Amino acid sequence: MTEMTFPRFWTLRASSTEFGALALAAALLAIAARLPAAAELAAACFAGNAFWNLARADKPRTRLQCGLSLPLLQILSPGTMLVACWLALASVVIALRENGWLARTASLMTLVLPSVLLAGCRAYLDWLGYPWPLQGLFL
Amino acid sequence: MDGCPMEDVLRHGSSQDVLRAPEPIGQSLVAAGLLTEERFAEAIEIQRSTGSPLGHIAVAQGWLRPFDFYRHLAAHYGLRFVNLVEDPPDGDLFEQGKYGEYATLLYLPWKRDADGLVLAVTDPDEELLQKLRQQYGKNVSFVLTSRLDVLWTVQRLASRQLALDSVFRRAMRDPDHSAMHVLTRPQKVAIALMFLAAAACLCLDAAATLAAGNAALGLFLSCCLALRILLVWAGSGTLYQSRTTKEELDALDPKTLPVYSILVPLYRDAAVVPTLARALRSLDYPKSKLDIKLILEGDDPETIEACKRAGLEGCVELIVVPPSQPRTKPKALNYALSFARGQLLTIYDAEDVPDPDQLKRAVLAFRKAPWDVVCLQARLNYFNWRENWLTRMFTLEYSLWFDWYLPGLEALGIPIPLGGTSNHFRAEVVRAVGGWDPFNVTEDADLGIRFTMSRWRVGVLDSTTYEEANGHVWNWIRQRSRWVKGYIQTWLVYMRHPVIAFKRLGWKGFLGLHAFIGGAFLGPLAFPPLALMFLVWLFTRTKMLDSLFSPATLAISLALLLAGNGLLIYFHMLAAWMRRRPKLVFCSLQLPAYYFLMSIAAWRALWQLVTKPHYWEKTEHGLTSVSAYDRDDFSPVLDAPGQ
Repeated sequence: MTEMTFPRFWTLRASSTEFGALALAAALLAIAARLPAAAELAAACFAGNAFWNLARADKPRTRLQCGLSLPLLQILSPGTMLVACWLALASVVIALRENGWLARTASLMTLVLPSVLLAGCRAYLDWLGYPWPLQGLFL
Repeated sequence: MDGCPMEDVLRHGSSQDVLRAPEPIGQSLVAAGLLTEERFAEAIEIQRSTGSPLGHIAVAQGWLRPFDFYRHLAAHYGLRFVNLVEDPPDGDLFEQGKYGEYATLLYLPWKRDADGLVLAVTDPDEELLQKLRQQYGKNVSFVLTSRLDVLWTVQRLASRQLALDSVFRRAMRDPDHSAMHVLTRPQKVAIALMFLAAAACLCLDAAATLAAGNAALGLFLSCCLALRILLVWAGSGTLYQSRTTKEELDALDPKTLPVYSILVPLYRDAAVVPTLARALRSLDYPKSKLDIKLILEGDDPETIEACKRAGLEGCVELIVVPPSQPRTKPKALNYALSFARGQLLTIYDAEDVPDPDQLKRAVLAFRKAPWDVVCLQARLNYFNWRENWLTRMFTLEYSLWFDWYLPGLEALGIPIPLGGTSNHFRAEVVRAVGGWDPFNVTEDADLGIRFTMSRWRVGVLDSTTYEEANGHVWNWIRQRSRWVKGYIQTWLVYMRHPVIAFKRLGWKGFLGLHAFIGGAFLGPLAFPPLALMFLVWLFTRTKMLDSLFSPATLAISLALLLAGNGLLIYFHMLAAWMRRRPKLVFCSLQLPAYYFLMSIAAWRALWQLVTKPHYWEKTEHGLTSVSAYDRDDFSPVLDAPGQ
């Protein structure tokens, strides 16, 4: 008995989750290829897709995507850093939807921890006197 | 046997006449005063929905004593009833290779009389009788006995053979993939050569050797971290892809449900038997299609007594394993496997509280899954997570492991090391691969990888079993030592023939095995020296350690320290959040302290691997003060469809 298989065709239709994965891949590729504008656009798409989905339904991938999108925006350029700030504010709004301060704070932490972590890493390396390795990402 | 009108028919008559009874058994049971009218009506209702024989339903529900039922059944069909304890069978008639068949088809050769062989059966089912006639010849005759009589007799006469089988079957069949020997000769030689080479390099240039070792460790741990990031990403995408929906469950026809065997190994678990009994009674599955085996150890009278006192229904049977070495759970499971009658099979631990609909979900998931999916691992979590710091940490770890990592492994096609409980199997495949390795103390992880090596697939089931988290530090260290020791055993077993493993698992599976299983023991082993180096450097700023860290190694080490630990904490936070346990989100920040405990357990495991490789450290259960049925503690995955 063998499993029946069907040929897979490439289609332009992608689910919202797949879109997030594609945007992340595009952003990472653009960073590797030193294409700042493309990286910023892809990262913004990744973050926008994440927060749009999270506003609609709290799902594991969506929350993870939100959490990862903030540090990605932080490291790219001052422009995307600004977007990250706005999205951090959006995180607060999303967290406020929860019942009780414990849940609200916990929700906020699951959204902004990677961002806080990135800032902490940078501060720690500064304190040690090491250069920040992501300093000149597109230089 | 004289005076039994059906006896001649059974011996020589047409098959159709055999089952023709004067009146339906249910009415006859009522007329004999063995079943009340109300129970009879209930049994008829259940029979309509499940299609099970009425007598089996009444026995399985506990409405009728099995002994009374079988005696009545014999009279009903005009057969002689024999009590095998008072009138034991002739042991010489037993065939060694057929013990499993006796136990699963529930018959055995009883005596040989002048006319031929007499078989004791528990069900005058025509299909079975025909099969037995074909096997033993037309001159065979039948008497009726009870199911428990058959099981106890098989255990009494065949316990030695079954015990030997349960210990050595796997090792005899495939010695290269058995943990009976921790290391094979080539492995010993390879390890000796590695040590010699390391010693030679240290003599030649100690600093460079240590720096190279440090770099290699950093690279390996980076790969482990990268795999975990991938797993979380992939797992988060499939976490909500419910294999079974509520609508599908409701539409399930009970008539089509298969017989489901549940194996519950118990050892010094008398305290948790009441919880177990309640959990088993709560299962939403027709009792007449349940085949529950409580697997007990012969030298554990307290648990045997507790099981007898629990007043368990007729669908529960006690299997007593004779005391022998190695005293491990997989040996007990192998022993009981010979008695399992179900097409599907699962394992629960003594303290488990599975979701009531878990068996139905597993049936549905198996039907929907491709034919090569032979095992489904349900999610495990803890009901007593609030109890103390350790239970909170343990719960965090399990939430990430079972809710995120395992679905990720499935999505990426990497072998899944099964958890010790709530694995649902196609029973025939478990038999085909030789059962569990009794010498491996994480037999579950080994079996999951063996399935993948045999080109079968393992999946994850969207249902949770709640267990008792270990809240006592020493008990926890003992349990974790066993797990880590088992992971090392498993890794060593599959690295005996790395080329074969590579071919069978594929590159993803092979690398995943190293990074996931290897990381599970190498990470905790490496944590104390790495943490110590970091702390010494942080507080003294010594230059002594500079030679160990080239610029690249330093970058990797710093990334692991900061981003690696940070990300792992973050992933645990997400896992806690998706279990709707916000308090645990904050507890994630304390994970480094938990890693330290894990390291103690890992080093203890390494020591035990050398000194007592097959020693099974029994985890004490029933120590919690939290009730397993405190429903507030049951927090399903947020918004998961069908949950």
